[in-house]
Amino acid sequence: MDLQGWSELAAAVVWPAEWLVCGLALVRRLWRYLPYFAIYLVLMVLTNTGRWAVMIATGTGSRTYSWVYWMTQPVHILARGAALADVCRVALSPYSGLWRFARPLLMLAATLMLGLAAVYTGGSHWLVSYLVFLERELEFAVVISLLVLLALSRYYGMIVEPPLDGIALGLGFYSSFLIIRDTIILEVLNVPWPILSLASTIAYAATLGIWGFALWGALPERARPVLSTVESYELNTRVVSDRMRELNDRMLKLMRS
Amino acid sequence: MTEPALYIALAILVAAALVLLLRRPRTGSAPRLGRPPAPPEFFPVHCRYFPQMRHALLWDDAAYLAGRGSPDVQRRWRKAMRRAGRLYLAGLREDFSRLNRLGRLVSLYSPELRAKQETELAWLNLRFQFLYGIGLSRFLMGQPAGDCLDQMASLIGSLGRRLEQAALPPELSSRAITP
Repeated sequence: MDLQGWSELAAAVVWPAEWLVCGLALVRRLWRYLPYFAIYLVLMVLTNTGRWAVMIATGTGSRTYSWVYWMTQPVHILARGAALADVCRVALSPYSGLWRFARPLLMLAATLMLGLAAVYTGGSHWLVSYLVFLERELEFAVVISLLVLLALSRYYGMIVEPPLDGIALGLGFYSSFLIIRDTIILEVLNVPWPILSLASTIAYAATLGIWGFALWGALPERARPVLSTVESYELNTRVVSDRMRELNDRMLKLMRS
Repeated sequence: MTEPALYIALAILVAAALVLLLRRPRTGSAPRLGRPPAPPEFFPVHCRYFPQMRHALLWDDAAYLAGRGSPDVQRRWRKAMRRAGRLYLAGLREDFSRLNRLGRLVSLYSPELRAKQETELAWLNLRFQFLYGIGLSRFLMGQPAGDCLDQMASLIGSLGRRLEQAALPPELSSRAITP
């Protein structure tokens, strides 16, 4: 069997896996917990089924398949962006102060990457090249936003609970893979398309595996934390930072002694 | 070739960073949703043993030993002093980390955060880590640090009392917090 055949076989295996993960999400009523991620999964199933049908009818090398593939790709990217926003909201919104504080940071990270995408894609006229450029920069926006989210969670000592951790890992892994794949396509690194296609299918299968594992158990009951008051925060952080400042000054003196 | 290599390396690094950030803390000390940790775990511990440590770390003994101990005894004594000093500094850093964690916990459970205060806490932490590194290297080189250790320890120790006087939220001040 040649590479093309392996690629089609892998796609045939991934297709039911995709339905399985989507079904699992619906059985778990994921739309109540992560509505945009649930929509993303349904969209992925529908668009990939459409692609699969076109591929069977016209073959992977046809212009029709290529057109369908690249026209549905922006839908995937936008849905993935919405899913990411969903993950951030669910992870941080129980802590309202932190959520308000983190929102501009997350938006800044995403806007920065989108701005870079606009600058890079400005001179690109070929539609597929434009979409690949845009996809790569958008995937960067996804992973950078995820990094900011996880760094903030770690800094404030918060645990990203299952299934959110698995979903975030899957999103990050797949976006990282797409950045590598798009770079290979854009920089014309002479990697044959069937190899890239096979690698994409395997990466997507791994992502589905991560999401399937995350959604295997029942969704957790979500308890809202008991928050303190603004006055208490201002008073206590001032006390702590004063103490830390004094401690730093003493350390400085220790060095100078 | 440089740009694609940069993109690919960056993507791999970001994926690795995501995996690292998603790992659960070994101590399991991170608060679970709706359950703030018990207060005592945040307050200074090592500074309570300061008087004993200060006495043990006096470099004045070096002069005494110089006249009486063999070179081998002096060498072993210096080695033991450095080790004890290093461990005690590490303890003080742990005390500082507790303060830092307390600060972040206060922020986490607050309904509103101030960017200025959060930046200041993060900056103070960075500064302390930097100073600690330099202070430790100086200590390892055999420079006396007894008086400064005294001041540092009393500062950390008094924090507990200050925080107790401050109006901590009920979930944090439900028990006595001074060590």
